[in-house]
Amino acid sequence: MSTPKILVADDEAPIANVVAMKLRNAGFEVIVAMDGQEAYERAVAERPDFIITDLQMPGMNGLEMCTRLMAEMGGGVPAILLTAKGFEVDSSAIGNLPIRRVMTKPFSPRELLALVRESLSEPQADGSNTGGGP
Amino acid sequence: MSATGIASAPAVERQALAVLAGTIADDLGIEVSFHDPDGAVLVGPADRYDESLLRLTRKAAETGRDAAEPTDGGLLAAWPIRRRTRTVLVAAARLPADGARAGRLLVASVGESIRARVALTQAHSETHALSAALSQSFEEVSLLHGLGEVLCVTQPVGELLQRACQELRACLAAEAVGAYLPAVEGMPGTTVVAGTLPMASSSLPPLVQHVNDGLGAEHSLIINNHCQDDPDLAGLSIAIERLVLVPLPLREGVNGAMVAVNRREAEFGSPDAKLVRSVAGSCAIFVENHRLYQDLQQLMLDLVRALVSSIDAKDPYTCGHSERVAITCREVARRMSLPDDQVEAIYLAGLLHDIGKIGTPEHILLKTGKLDPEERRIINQHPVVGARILSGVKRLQHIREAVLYHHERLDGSGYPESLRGDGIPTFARIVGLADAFDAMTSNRPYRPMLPLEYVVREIERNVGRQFDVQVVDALFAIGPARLIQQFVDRPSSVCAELIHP
Repeated sequence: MSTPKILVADDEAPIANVVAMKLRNAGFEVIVAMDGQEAYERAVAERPDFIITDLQMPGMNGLEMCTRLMAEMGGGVPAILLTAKGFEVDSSAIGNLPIRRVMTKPFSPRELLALVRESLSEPQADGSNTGGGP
Repeated sequence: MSATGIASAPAVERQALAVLAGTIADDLGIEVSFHDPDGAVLVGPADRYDESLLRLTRKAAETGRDAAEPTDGGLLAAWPIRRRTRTVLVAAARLPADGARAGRLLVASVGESIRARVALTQAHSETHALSAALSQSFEEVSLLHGLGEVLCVTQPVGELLQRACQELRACLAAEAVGAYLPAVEGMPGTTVVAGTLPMASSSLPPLVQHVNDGLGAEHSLIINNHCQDDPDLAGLSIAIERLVLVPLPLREGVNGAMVAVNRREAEFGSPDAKLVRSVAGSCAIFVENHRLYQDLQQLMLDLVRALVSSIDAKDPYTCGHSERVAITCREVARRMSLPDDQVEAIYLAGLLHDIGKIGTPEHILLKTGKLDPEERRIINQHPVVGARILSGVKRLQHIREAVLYHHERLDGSGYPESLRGDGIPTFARIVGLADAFDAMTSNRPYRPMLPLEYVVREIERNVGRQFDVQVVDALFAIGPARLIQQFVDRPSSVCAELIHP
């Protein structure tokens, strides 16, 4: 099984760096995007297995990005929303997007890693399984 | 810089570019201007509105490649500066044509390029280090936030301490984190450990003691990264090398402790100790609060017993009655699988059920013969009087009805309100049976105690009429003989007389 690829989208460099470092240290392949448009383009081009995205970013916000991805790629990519607006996001905003969890900042990088591993080993909607990964 | 170019960038970024242009002019002797991807000048000499230069900068921006074209006196050059896949800035300059100058420029600029790349590499590793430090800070902040959330939830002390130790251990990457509370005033001590403590947990108290003794006025906690050099510590355990110990402040002079043990990658330092202290402080508040609450409960119970004994003690026949009824109620409630808080409540109800008798004149209470109708009417007031007394105590409202209705009967022939069947609260039914059971099995002024087989038959006969079948079943399951034996073996502490021969 190939190394799972994770897209991290956040316009705050410190956050993006911390998340990317944590995931790379754990053996994942990580792509970093600094805004919604870039995240969308790179997701379409590189087909990540998982997305960790901020909500508020210049251009397209995280939810818009996930919505467009779902339209473009059918099914969408499982994601975690990692945002300072976590307490203000409710389930109606998420709708049927494949967002597994909303995490609020500040967050525990350890907890995030555990959640990513757990989500990657869950069966997908179509019955397939991306496998446990590192 | 935003992805759309720095035309909208704050003035401070333009300022930085202006400074950079100045440095380049000093070091390389060339005038560099900086442009937007569409050619507009952001930083540069005031007279740099050369159409061909602007065209060149636009070309460089679009193609993403360095562009150059000859001009009189030299070379026009434009260098696009990219972020990710987009050009965000273009630098441009007029370069000299003469050979010597060009040669010097070449050397200088290659040198610049190398230095810049080295600086970039250094910057990357700084970023990496910063990320690691930031990540650790995030973990600590999350730990403290998480603990704060959990502290306001009611839970057993042991569970809170276990969670605190687990989270601390993960955050510190320690081999083990333990918490110790000494026994205090009838409440047992607690030792909780997350991870594997490299010694028996019974060694924790002497360790705490040793360290507490060593605490001077200067420091309120202990960090020791070379425990094997301390003969006392080494004696307690050969496997402890690094240690952080923080007191868990409880009551005056009584301290528990929180201890983190052994971390391979690095010694413990003040950031670690402060984190442990912060967590210990929060836990101490929680524990103390918990204990205060339990003290309060105990105080109330002790006061109630004292009050009840003072009434019971007036009459040697009823001495200990309320306590026996209370104990019987508690056992029946447990046998009926009622929740713990209800079992406690019904014990209290048993203790207080006859408190209304304080309003009954002694000559009626102690009369040996049969009561006349007026005397009967007076003594039958005691449930009402008892309930009225309890209505003034906020914390006892949940047992008021048990006291008021403990003489009601299922068939409606009870008093004071002739309630029927389901209208009688469960607590009252339990107290009613326990009360009747003790009355029948003890000596009274008007008759001696009844034989146990007779008592059992009487109760059975009155199931559905006076008594609830479920309550009776519970009483029989416990075993009436065993109950009575319990009372014989341990008579009421207040009463000198032994009632049951």
